Amino acid sequence: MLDAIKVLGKTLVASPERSKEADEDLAVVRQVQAGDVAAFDRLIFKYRARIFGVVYHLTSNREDAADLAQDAFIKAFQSIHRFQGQASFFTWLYRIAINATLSHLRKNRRRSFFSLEKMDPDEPVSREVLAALTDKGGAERDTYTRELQEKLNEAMQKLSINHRTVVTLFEIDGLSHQEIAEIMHCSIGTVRSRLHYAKQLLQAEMVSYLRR
Amino acid sequence: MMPIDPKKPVTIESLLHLKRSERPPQEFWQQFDSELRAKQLAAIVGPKPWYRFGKIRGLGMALPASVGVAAAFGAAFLSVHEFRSASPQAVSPRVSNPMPAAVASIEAPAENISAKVVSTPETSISAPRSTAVLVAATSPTRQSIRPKNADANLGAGTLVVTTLSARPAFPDPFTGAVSVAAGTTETSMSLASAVATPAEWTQAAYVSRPAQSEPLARTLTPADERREALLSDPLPNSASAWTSANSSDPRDVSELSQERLAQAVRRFGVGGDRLLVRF
Repeated sequence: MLDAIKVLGKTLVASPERSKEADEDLAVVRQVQAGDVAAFDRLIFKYRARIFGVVYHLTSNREDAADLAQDAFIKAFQSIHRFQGQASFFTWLYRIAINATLSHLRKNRRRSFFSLEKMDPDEPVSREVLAALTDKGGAERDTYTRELQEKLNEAMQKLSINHRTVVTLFEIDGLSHQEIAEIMHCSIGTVRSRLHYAKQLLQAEMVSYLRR
Repeated sequence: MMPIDPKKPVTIESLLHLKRSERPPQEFWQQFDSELRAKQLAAIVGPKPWYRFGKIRGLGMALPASVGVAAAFGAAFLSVHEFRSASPQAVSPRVSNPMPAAVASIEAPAENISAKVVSTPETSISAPRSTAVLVAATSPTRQSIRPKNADANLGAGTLVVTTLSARPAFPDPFTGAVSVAAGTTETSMSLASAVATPAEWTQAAYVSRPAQSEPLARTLTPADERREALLSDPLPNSASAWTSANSSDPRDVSELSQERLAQAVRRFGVGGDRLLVRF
């Protein structure tokens, strides 16, 4: 029965790369469980940016995101002896981080202020989108970028927590529907439905920046 | 580098992809790592909450809360029990009892008490049905009585004789008052005044009084005790009680007043620029 659950858990991991990654993570987790505490540092180093990223996109606050990401690693470390490999470590860690973030957001529903990271306009994707949006350059372009970033984060914060989570995990973090369903303990249909609805809301908010 | 098409449509997905470029600088990760390390260490060495000590690892369950509740009830029961047995001690003869007698609770027959009192001064003797003891004293011969051991801390089933010093006119005698408090005090007043030897136990008097109904009513609050100690009486309990009971003798009253005055003066002292008051 346990083996069947493990197999099911692994089939939920979308790509072969993810499957390989999950196996590597599991080996490291076994080391930590055997008492090699330092091996957990490898997992931290590997996932810190992604965990921080997903929490940051959910909260739009870098300080809160740093705290919550650290807390997620601490919780994972404290309860790693309970990790049995039924899901991938990556999914398990994401679930911890997202649950902590959702709890934080629910507690601080009324308190939300932005503390945004600087958007890198020289990244290929950013450069392409910004070039399509504006022909300005220099300082004007930076101002426009900053304005767009704030508007986008405002629109994200207007979404409900569940919708924001689905959008973040799918569009920004690039997870599959299956992985999101596993992390959020819901069906794939629910994930798709939430994603569709969230995008409609975002389009309505960002209509002035869209170009067809 | 691919040329950028300025006419390319901008969708909500592409705008969301912009957020991927919101990344912290490299310095941020150094601070992140150091904070995480500190939190990790704190999590390892930090104290566990008390309820986790009882955790049974194999079963993955904690001790039920009823254990804690039972412990709390047990502690409360013991406190009440201790209070009930110790409450007569809170009665000060100089305050609530005009007679130079000790208030006590007694259940055992008087003969038993006297027989045990004379056995040894300051000795605990087993008394089967007794549960608590209060010691106080008086002397029918108006001796200035100073209890050496006025506080008797006794467990259940013990009986204590407390010796009291006497003046040189009575070289040998000890005056003791013994009381045996029963668990359910119905008769609540006993005085044993013993002098010298068992043969003189004829002087011992046992006085019965109605029990005071509520132990709490007889107990002084800490505030009362402080106030009393500070404002009223520098003399020991026995002397004060003696005074209040025998104030009809003017010579004794005068003697005691002088003694009180001297003691009151001795309580004060001057050290440098400070006024010292001993309590």
